[in-house]
Amino acid sequence: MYAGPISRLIAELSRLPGIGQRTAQRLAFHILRSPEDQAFALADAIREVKEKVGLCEVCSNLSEGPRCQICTDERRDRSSICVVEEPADVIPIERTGEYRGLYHVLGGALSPIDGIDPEDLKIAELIGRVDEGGIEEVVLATNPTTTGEATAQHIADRLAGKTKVTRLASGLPVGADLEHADEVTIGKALAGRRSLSGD
Amino acid sequence: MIASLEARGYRNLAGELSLSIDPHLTVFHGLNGAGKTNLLDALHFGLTGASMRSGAIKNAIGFESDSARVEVEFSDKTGTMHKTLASLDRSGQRRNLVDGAAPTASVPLPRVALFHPDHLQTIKGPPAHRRALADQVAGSLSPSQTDLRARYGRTLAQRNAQLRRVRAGELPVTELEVWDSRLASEAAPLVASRRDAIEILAPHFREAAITLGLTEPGIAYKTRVGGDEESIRLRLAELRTEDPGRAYVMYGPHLDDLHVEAEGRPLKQFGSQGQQRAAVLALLLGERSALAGAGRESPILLLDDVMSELDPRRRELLIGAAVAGGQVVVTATDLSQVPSEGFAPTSTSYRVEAGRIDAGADSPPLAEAV
Ligand SMILES: Nc1ncnc2c1ncn2[C@@H]1O[C@H](COP(=O)(O)OP(=O)(O)O)[C@@H](O)[C@H]1O
Ligand SMILES: [Mg+2]
Ligand SMILES: [Zn+2]
Repeated sequence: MYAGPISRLIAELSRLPGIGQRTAQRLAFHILRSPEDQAFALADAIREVKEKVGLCEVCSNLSEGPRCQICTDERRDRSSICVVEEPADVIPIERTGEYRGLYHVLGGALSPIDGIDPEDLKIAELIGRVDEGGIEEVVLATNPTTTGEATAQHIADRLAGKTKVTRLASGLPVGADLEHADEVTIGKALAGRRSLSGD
Repeated sequence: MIASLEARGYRNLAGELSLSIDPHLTVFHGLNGAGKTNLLDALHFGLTGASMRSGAIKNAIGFESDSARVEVEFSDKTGTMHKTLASLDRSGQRRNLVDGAAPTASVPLPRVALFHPDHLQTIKGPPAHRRALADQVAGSLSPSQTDLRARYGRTLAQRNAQLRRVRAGELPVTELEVWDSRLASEAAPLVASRRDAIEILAPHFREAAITLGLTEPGIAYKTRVGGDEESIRLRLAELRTEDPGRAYVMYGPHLDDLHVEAEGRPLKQFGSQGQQRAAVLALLLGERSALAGAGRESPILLLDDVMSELDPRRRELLIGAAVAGGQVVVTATDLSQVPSEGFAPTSTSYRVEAGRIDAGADSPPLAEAV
């Protein structure tokens, strides 16, 4: 339909989540018409993010080096770990300013339908961190969805007797993703977290 | 309260149709195939974005049109007017707007309750229909409970996916524990919400059913799931360890049922067509009166093709009870089948012919532009 490079760009863009064929076309023509430096800046940013950003070796959050900014920040409280599904879930919790501990990013949630088992998530790594000692509380902040709740339950069971495990209070709208909840709500949910197992 | 309907390109409705909806009783009458059901469907589409007929939504676009567009004007509790717009075209573009913007919780749309002869399935059909009814009533009485059913369903699907893998020998049976525990957490509130909803509905159902001529009518919620979250969890654990076979899969609110009966016998097995119809109508009327009792707004009741099946006395009783519960729109082949004088404070009737409102007849002011 279009010349090779254009249809290639449309094909690549339409692979992005939430971008259909129509939107991909619009974006492609927008890029085509935009000034050269802007278009190249976009291309460079995509390249750079893939080359420079990896996962933190401790918490699996996004990181430019082997360890992320939060894990290397001396002022953070090293006795608590907040467990989230995705790196995007760290941002809204940080924005509340209520939490000063460390994180652990699982990289998803348990889902038998999709064949996602505990081994497919960074759960063993989390247990390893707790086993190293010094952790007084693990806050489970997986999403209040079917899969997020099951993941929280699984982790709580495995950490039972090792440390105190709490779950974000259900101030979050049921089924809502952390990523889309507002700061006040997440702040309240953090303040009202309930215990899933004693220490 | 719904004030008016405008439609263009919707099914067989011709031209730019615009008519007012009576605060109490609106009647569409005309020959078979005139477009009476299509008018109800247009209202349904305007308020919900979905057709009440099954099949692809694109089938709702008029044969001669490229797009369909319906607008419904309504007032909220405070009397402020709002307008919905629902549209679709042949390329698949759809829009659902309220006051020209995306719908928000701050302007709740009027709800719709529908009687259609197919709805006898609620009584005659498999239990899934009645569970859906129980959940719908629970959700309408208490909107925060609307998603309990879907949450339980998603958890059950995950649990069963895990069970398949256990049975295939891919995982040890202990890998079911987490999912059973989640299932118990989702089952308990679902069972409680169904029980509460049917308890609230029962007296209203009984009253409406007696009005419509049923003897000793009753409705009861039947579940094998008893007790709280913890006892459900324990029961699942027992079944799982004893034998993760049939009994295990057959335990849970996904197997609940409602017993609807008259004269001490279930209408599903023993009811005549007429009794079953009366029960379905009584469920609709009962739900509306339960909502009114709970201080919630009553849904607009759309009654399609029901009049011809009832004797004159039943028609009067039905219309009387329906109008007492809120706004009603009825279709009939003959206007004389719908008692209005003395049964509704006000009423408006439209004669429908070949997708048009016949202006010559009994209809009050209406605009049917070119
Ligand atoms: N998308 C459509 N476009 C045009 N006509 C349609 C469409 N869908 C259904 N119809 C026609 O509408 C007529 C039926 O109208 P309906 O409202 O069911 O009649 P009734 O007055 O008996 O309730 C049928 O003749 C059917 O062919
Ligand atoms: Mg009809
Ligand atoms: Zn880190």
